[in-house]
Amino acid sequence: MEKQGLIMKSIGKQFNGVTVLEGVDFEVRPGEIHGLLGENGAGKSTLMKIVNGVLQPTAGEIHIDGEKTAFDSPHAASGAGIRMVYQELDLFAHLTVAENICQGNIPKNSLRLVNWTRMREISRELLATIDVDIDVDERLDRLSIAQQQIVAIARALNGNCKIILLDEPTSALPKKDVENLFKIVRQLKEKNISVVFISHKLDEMMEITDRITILNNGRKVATVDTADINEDILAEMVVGRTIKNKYPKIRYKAGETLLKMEHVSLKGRLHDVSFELKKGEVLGIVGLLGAGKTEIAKALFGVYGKGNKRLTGNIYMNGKDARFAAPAQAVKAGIGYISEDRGSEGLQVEQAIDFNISLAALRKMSRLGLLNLKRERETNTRLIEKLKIKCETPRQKVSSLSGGNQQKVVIAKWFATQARIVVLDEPTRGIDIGAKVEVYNLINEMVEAGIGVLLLSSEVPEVFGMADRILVLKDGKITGEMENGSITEAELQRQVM
Amino acid sequence: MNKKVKLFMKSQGSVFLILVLMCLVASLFTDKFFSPSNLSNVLTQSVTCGISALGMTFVILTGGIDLSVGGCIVFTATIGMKFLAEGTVGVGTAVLMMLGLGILVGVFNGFLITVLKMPSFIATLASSSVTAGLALYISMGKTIIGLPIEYSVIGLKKVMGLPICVWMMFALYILSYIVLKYTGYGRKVYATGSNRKSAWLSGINVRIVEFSVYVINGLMSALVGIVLTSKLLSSTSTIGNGMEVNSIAAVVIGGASMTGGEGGVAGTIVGALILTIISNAMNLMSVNAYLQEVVMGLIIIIALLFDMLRKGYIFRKPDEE
Repeated sequence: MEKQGLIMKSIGKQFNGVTVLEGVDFEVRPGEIHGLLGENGAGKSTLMKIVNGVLQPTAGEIHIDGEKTAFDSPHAASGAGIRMVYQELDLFAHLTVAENICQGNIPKNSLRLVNWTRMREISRELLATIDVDIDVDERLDRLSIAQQQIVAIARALNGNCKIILLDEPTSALPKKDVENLFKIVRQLKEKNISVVFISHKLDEMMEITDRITILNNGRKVATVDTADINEDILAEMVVGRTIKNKYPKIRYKAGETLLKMEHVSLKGRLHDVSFELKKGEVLGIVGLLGAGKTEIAKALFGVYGKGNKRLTGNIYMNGKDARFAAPAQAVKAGIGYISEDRGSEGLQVEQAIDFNISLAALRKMSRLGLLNLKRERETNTRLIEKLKIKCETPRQKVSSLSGGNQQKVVIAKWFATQARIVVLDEPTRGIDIGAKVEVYNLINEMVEAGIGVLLLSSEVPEVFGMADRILVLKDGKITGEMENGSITEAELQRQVM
Repeated sequence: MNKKVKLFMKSQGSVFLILVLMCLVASLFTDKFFSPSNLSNVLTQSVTCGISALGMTFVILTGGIDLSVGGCIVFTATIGMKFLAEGTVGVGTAVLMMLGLGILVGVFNGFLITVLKMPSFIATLASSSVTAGLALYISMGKTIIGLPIEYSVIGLKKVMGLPICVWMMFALYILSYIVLKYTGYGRKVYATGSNRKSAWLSGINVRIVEFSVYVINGLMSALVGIVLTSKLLSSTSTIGNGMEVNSIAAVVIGGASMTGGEGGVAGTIVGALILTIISNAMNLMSVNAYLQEVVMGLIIIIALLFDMLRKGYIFRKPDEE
């Protein structure tokens, strides 16, 4: 019988009554490179988790080579030849390349002990099939990110691999390594291994894929042959027409300068960064992943400390020295920081909503060390209403909220401290389009209240849609500064790349 | 099950059920358990475990652990009692001195953990060895006796039917309850243990919070040393043996999470009472002393199982691991 590859029929998935995928058909033919495209929250990762057995669909069927199957775990999917390479590589930093590649399938000798010679051989062979040369005895954490990714791919190839899922594999790679990765992907295709390529980047999609499936808001828009379309049509399909005004920008008059960064450098990460932030404006800093956005936020927030020799340059707030020794000082001075990593840096996910909202404002809410519970309750209730945080009670654990509502809790925290400068680092990562618009509306509210907003993002449309002024950040350097409106979105996109 | 019952079972209050159950079982097997004198006994016996578990609660809430409790107790007790027995200091001075020494041990632990950034497990294990060793060197392993009779007031003198040390424990628990629940500091303790990084990025000085809990625990250990020596009117070199294990057990039975951020003093006192009642009931039933240890361990396991069940750690689906 001829091989048919992977066929998924009308897949649906609900989480606690919220539909995240509905009626999605998805087909991967043997030996094709299939692109999966969609915005954050479109359902790409949910679909991939279903393919990979991490999640089980609430509706629909999965067929592999004509046979109906269901995976109850990643292990089962792996057994059927489906392998996933995650964006955050799930490798073992302290083990060698060979140990990483053979993990889960360690060769044993006749005494049931680890056969190290065989393990090295297998690893070398697998690396040779994709034509790369990496020392298999090297410890993983001594390799570059690009090399680590190759190790992860080699591990996925171990055993019977039919389909390999690459989750945003280029997001952390410099351009040179992207080309190398594409070479490897084409080699896999030659060996009749299918590749599902997940990315935001339209140009990469056009270059590498045979076909592309586009998702929007949990539904499939279309599956198209890459040869039949162009980038513009693709972009329209991704955005869809569901939301009329994705960026509800309201302009206010900017006031005096709140914050000044002068010649700030962080060894190896930031080079001579200077800018000013004014009251009542949104300053957008746009750059690729790893360009140094988070480092700017952290430098501002006192994360690197005062005596840190790696950080040089001056920071002033209202004319006063603002190189803080610790975040506590930054909070006191009126800065709020919405981290790109909501779960581990922004929130106390195992604590309640009200606990989180008051956490940075405890001093404001207490007298003589004792908390003014009435005042705390009033502030929390007001903010939960104002930010439209959907919850049953303020005592509810944050982990039970959706991504968008969790992000609103983080934002509420800095409304509670009455911050005068708010730094938002990738504020709409991993939240759906509806919640995104709500976050943008909150940015408008901040600006209206005279807060200076620093918007750090790798999403060009977001910065283009919401910022008053835009800085382009590339490899830790500011390579462009412009008033919004003096440039087209496409032009900005080109500058960022 | 109706919703309220379910909520109660999921809350920390459910440990209270175990306590009630324990009391019922104990009264079934012995006829003296519910007599006023025995209940007063149970409370008196629970003071040492109760106070040390109270300090341990603060430490565990921040996600740390303090294994130096036993060492700290014998260290403070030995030095304080040596001076008191020699008559160089009076009762009041001796007590103050012991409290000061307890704080000193806490400061030492806090320094190792927050300034030198050592893992709390190994740092306090080391300081336990240092303090216990110093105590042995000072006493040369001998029991210190000949203490002034006034000193026994703290442990033995009864006010309104209960020894002073029991009232002291109650007061400390109420104070700690208020601190943890109604002060900014209390919130910071929980936040530090729940997610240290996010707490730090919310402007909390997590190192000061961590430092403080070891000082609190050092102070509590010194208090336990005072209560113990005052009850016995002597000080032996084994006086603090196993106290850290008992206090950790009480805290965890009380529903706290060893990784921090979850738990509270209400659970801890119940945990301490459960441990005391088990031992009290076994004494009443004249169970062999060696076997008591076995039963104690088994009951801790059962209590923990119950707690894990309540939190849903067992029988959960694989993708929630």
